Amino acid sequence: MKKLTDIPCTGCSLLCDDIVIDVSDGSISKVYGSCSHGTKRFKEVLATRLLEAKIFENGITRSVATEDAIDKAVEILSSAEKVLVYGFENSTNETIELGLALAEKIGGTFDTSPSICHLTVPLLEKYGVRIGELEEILDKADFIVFWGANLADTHLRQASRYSVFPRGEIVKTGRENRIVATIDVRKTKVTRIAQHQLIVNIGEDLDLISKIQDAFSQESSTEDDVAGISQLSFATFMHDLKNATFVAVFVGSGVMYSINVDQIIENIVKLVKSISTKKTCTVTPLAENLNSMGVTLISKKKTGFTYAIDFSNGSPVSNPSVTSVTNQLLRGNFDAAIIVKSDIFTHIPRSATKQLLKIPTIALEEIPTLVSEFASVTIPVTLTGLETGGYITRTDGKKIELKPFLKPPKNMFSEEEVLRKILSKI
Amino acid sequence: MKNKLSTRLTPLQIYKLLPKTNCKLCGHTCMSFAIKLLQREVTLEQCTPLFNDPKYAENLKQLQELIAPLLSAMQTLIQIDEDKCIGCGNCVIACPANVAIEPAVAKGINPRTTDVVFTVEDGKIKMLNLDKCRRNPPHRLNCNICEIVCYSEAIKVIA
Ligand code: SF4
Ligand code: SF4
Ligand code: SF4
Ligand code: SF4
Repeated sequence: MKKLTDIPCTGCSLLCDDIVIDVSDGSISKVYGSCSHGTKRFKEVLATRLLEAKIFENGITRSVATEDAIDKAVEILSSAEKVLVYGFENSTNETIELGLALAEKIGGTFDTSPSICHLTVPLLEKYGVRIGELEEILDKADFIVFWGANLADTHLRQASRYSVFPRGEIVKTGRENRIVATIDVRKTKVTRIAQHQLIVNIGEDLDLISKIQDAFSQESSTEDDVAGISQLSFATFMHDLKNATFVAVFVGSGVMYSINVDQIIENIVKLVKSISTKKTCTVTPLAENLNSMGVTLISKKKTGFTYAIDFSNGSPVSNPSVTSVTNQLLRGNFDAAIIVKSDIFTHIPRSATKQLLKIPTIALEEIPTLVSEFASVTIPVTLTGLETGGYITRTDGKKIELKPFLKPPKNMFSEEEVLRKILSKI
Repeated sequence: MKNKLSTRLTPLQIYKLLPKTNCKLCGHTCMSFAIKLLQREVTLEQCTPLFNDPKYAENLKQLQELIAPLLSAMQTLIQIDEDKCIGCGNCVIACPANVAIEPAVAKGINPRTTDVVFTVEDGKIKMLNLDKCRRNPPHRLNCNICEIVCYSEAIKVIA
């Protein structure tokens, strides 16, 4: 038995890098330090993984060699007029670059699963607000806001590993020196660890933001309830906010359920900007998938856009109400799709799914999903973080190098290798 | 507004109610007697002036009330509902005993040794050394941080 230390976990976008793993005979016997999601990632994927490449043609599915499946994929992509290149939110940075290169080369559309990062990153740039880095927050933040972020369901170790509980260089006693505030439309498990539990009326986020803004800049105090929050709760929240020295705001996917999500995020960013004239104040989006932040940052850097990027006219264009995966599927724009480690069926409406099922699809997957089930060509790939390395961008933008520790099955390629082969053959 | 996380009894609270004469009939100063009382190394009866001089009667009564929970809780019990546990690590990192035993825990790192009170293993909390919980002697702290910080009410501190 071998004990491996400091293995980064690929269970979510926090990439906790302190995991200890017992490996014997090429299998994982124990995992120390990872939460239940991470443990599932380490222990269950090995048992449920895809092993064979498959081609579905004329009503029958047959197992094929990986190379043959790749050739078939190249054939489909080459003969298509307009290809959807989708997914990558669970892929390495290197693979994301290849995905963008593929979309560009074949004049397709690159899109990925919805993420808070897509909207937040461009706004941070626009207003010159910086992303709060987790290590800095651990050391210095004495006021932590979780906005629409139910960590207990999505980012299990966020509070224990990076924000609320650890003792920092400046915030020496950890939890005792930090004020935690949750802002959400309902009570969540996370409200348990917060001193300020702001439950805002559904649809009244914007009102709350502007009241915080007013109270912060004008020393004014309100006599009334604010967006469903009692005057007293609001006043004590403001009191602590004003007394803090380092405010770290985490924005979670809960915000995405609001109709005016763009406005809400824009106003949160503006609020942070104005708070940061008086003290340090940062925003960190909590990326929904392993590498949603990587897709966002890499796409932004390469094309200027963060999602729904269309290359059909040579240069990249993004106008989500026209170029998003759903809108283009509904218009019947695509005649082939390549989907990389993404459960697209849960991201698009049923009407769009129907369109997708009509066209030939290529799936690169680690484990069986609905996508691999319905795909015309299924190519199994090695397990990211367990068998294959590379870099993933953590939710705060920091690049984390993976440390693969298992041998992949013979004749199986990594997602990166498969895409390289496809690119070189097209 | 800061929530108080721990309601532990402090030596100062006890000291304030002692005669504060440092007569040393107990073999200590009043302050060190207070500390030792908290650690259950001496008993209240060893401060004889407290019992013999009627002017300390009221203080004696208050002291007896103050330390009653100390005397009754002989053994700490921590009940864990594994099914509810999601392995978030809040308890493991927040626990002061864990941090004292393994300082890296203070930085949010799951313990590497088996010397700590508890750890996260295979995505669940695992109790290793309940006797090192600070509710036990010599600390006898009235701590229940692990219970308070748990997202899923998987921990109950009893006694
Ligand atoms: S919080 Fe995320 S990265 Fe950390 S152990 Fe859990 S799943 Fe893995
Ligand atoms: S016997 Fe009582 S009064 Fe005298 S020193 Fe000890 S504690 Fe203080
Ligand atoms: S009650 Fe015991 S186990 Fe729980 S946090 Fe306190 S010292 Fe640690
Ligand atoms: S705080 Fe609760 S849920 Fe989290 S690891 Fe401890 S017992 Fe499990």
